[in-house]
Amino acid sequence: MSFLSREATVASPGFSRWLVPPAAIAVHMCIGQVYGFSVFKKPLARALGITAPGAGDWSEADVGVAYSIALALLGLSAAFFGKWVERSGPRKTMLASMLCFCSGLVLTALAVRWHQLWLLYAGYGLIGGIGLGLGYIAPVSTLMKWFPDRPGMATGMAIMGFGGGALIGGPLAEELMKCFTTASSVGAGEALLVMAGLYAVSMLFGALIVRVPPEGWKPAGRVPTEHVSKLVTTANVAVDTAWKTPQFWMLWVVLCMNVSAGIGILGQASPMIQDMFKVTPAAAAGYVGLLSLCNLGGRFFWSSMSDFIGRKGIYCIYFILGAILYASVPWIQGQGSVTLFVVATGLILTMYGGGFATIPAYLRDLFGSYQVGAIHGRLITAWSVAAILGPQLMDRLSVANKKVMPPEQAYNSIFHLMVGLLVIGLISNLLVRPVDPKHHLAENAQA
Amino acid sequence: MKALTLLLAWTWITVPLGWGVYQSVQKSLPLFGITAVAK
Repeated sequence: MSFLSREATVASPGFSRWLVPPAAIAVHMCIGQVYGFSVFKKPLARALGITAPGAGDWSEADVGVAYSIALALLGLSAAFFGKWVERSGPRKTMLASMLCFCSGLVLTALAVRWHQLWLLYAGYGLIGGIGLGLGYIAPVSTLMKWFPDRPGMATGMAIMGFGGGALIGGPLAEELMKCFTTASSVGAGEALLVMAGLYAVSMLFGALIVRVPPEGWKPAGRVPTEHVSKLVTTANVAVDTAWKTPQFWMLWVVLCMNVSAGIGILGQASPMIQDMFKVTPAAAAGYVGLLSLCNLGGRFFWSSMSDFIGRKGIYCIYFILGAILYASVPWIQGQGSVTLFVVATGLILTMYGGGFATIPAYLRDLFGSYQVGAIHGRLITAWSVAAILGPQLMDRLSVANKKVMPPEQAYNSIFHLMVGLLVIGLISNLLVRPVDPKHHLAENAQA
Repeated sequence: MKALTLLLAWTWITVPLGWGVYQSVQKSLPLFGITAVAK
């Protein structure tokens, strides 16, 4: 029995399940660095010129492509390797994630040193992106198995860690680059190497302490109750069947619409508040920071609430409240109230984060916990699509609108469009029904 | 021993997460017209 095998990670009697969330968060807060990648854009775009972009330097757009590749690979690798992740167990997967993600950072450092753009794409985008996908789904199904009584809270903690990774990755990279900047270097390569080392240690820590529960394990003192919701099943559906059910695609639309509506704001937050309320760039940066905190807090808060309200109910809240808030933003802008605007968009961002964190528990409710990690992996493709759809809609519409109207009014039609996306998500969520029992696996087929 | 392991594990993640949150709070202060504490 290998140290990395699933069998080697089965918890011994007396193991505290509260050791598993730190293991999951230790991995997620590292791979969440991808959201903070933008801090490397300007330094990498003057890697040769040092103080200003020089001849032969990459453009910021060139560098940004690495981020897009990484996010696309996150979705693709999660979908492609999902079954392997379920078979191999969390330790082997976390280790594989660490090897891919950290070697991706090292290759990125080499790409900076040798000034090879293809190596940046291969390192950070391709190899690092695979590490992101593996690391994202690996701990989620393990956590849900340890917390069958509070699956929403459990996944909320891990996915909050991913949001936290952005808050750590950006400032950490900035501080390190400041330390390593010299007359002949922007310090990005050295910063990336140090980050690779720190992240490797943290992810290894997660891989070492993670455990899976023994077969048939239940939390002490837990009395199984009658199902309150018909949507929560005790049966299991295999991933290859699950993705062919209408429920999978309804949840795909739910996630895609929820993410598209939130990610558009997140990407345009700084210019948007400056255009709409004429605040200073420093205050706009503060607004971006506040939205990141809302995104982080919403992941834990809303996902935990879903354990009490139910997954379908909580998504109804995301979509209805989100649509009302989006629809009210043009009015708020007319009133000139920055405070109300910050509160409304902050609330929207909490529900954007909540949407990410609640979806694994929703999948578990519908398809059981047998291959929920793999099913989650396939559903994450909705995030990849939304990561393109949301910002594109926001960018194109705002640019087009600014040509024909004052900048402070250029965003109003976008907010109405976001309302439309949320209504589509709401309809899709309302259509979700329990999975047809013909798709359920027989007990003896789950070995 | 079990309590110590739990404490170590949670400290391992809360310290960097707390630092990240602190950085974001600092960054968001100008929005409320409050000057961030000089580093």
